[in-house]
Amino acid sequence: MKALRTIRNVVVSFAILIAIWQLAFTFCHFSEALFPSPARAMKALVETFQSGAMIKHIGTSMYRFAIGYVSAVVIAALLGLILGVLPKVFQFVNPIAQLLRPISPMAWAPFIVLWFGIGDVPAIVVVFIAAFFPVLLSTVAAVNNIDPIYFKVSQNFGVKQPSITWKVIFPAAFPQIASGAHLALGSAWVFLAAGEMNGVQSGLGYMIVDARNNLRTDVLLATIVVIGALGLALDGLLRLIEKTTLKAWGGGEA
Amino acid sequence: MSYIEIKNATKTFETNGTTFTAFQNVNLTIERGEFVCILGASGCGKSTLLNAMAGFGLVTKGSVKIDGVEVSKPTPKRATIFQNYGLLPWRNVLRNVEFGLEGIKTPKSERRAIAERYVDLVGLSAFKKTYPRQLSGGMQQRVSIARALAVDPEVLFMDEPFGALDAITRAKLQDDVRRLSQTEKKTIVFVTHDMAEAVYLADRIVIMSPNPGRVKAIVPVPLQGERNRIGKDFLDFQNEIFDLFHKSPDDLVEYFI
Repeated sequence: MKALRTIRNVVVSFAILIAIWQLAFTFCHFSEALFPSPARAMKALVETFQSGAMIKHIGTSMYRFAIGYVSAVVIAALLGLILGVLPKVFQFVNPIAQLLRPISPMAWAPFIVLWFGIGDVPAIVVVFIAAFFPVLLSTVAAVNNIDPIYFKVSQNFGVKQPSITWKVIFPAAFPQIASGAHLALGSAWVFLAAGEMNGVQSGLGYMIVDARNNLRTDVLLATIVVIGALGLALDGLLRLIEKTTLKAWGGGEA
Repeated sequence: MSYIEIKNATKTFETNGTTFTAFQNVNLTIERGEFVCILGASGCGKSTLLNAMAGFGLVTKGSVKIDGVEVSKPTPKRATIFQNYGLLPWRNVLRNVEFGLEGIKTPKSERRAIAERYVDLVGLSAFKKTYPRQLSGGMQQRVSIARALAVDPEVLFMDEPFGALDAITRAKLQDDVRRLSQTEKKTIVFVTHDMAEAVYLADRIVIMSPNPGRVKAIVPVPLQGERNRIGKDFLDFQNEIFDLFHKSPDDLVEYFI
């Protein structure tokens, strides 16, 4: 019942969006080549799927995203655990992290292409940078937020390092690490398309650049729709994974 | 020589340049197998004194010896039960009880059986695979008692263990702890601010007064055998304790609930 209502809400809100788009198209007097109608974009979407181009680019993008995102989450979470346990070291790392964090991953793009050349790596590195800092900082915060009673209990029963890290610290911090990873997913996805606009000849970001160069605004919009839909789907997938793992983590929310 | 010997113990804290005295010149001895309740109002240093015995915060002056050895850190030989249980929410009941056994390096093959035995002992046989969040406060505290007993400690330090429970559940757990103290033969030091609880459970009651915390009186409980919470001798003795509490008009006893 609840799921049904959610689906209804989603359908209605998308219908409203398309209606606004259509209205804007009808009343604004741009040429169709500059501002395609929903129908044109839909046709382009079907066309790119049928030609196989879209599937190929989606595959490439997803591959880069998966590598960049997963490696960022794993490395940032591990580093965050270590820094969380060593607050004295984190005091020195924190200013560096705070300095680097607000820099857009795209600002590094020229260097990334210079250092890593062209191909999959630049886009992977951009995704990695985008996901890395939110996960690192939320992991450190998660470790610092652990209820001290867990440490008292561990101490009482003689549970020592490294057991404390994987028996107490990691599981206690896990829910907050997961929510940091969830947050990072969004920004990493945003930067994937941007990252693919430099130094590559494939992927969704490249499709946008290519459509622009060919003045195919309909394909451009179709690609934008796909990027949005995939982002939404990834978010839903992660939400589902989060829900099931948190359930195994003590029954989820009370 | 007594099992636990506290001599001229003082504990002070430094906060922002000011010194706060939690308790001062405390002298107390506890025999093996005794059930001692430390009774006092909030801020009398009773929990701090318990922590000093358990090894979580050492005394600043004087000495705390258990079995002839100065207490320096917590050990699985003395298990502490906290008011807020300290269960690991990502482990089910059985795995929580196993946590202590992992700490004392019980072989993996034996852990499950020992954990099961103690979960049964505290009456949670039907909840072995249940997670703490799905249990009531009273049941969670039973799990933490089972976890403490499973490592077979010599002493149980209980820090207002039933403070967060409703009156009915509290009475039930008091019965359980009394029964366990007799069958398991542990030395129990139990901190509480509830006079009836102290009278119901203890062999001896240590009354503490605040500002700074010190021992005001040590009273053996004269009640024998089964204790009846509404029996005349029980209520009479409780009144005696009450009077002792308010004896000196200089001491302002406040209850913060």
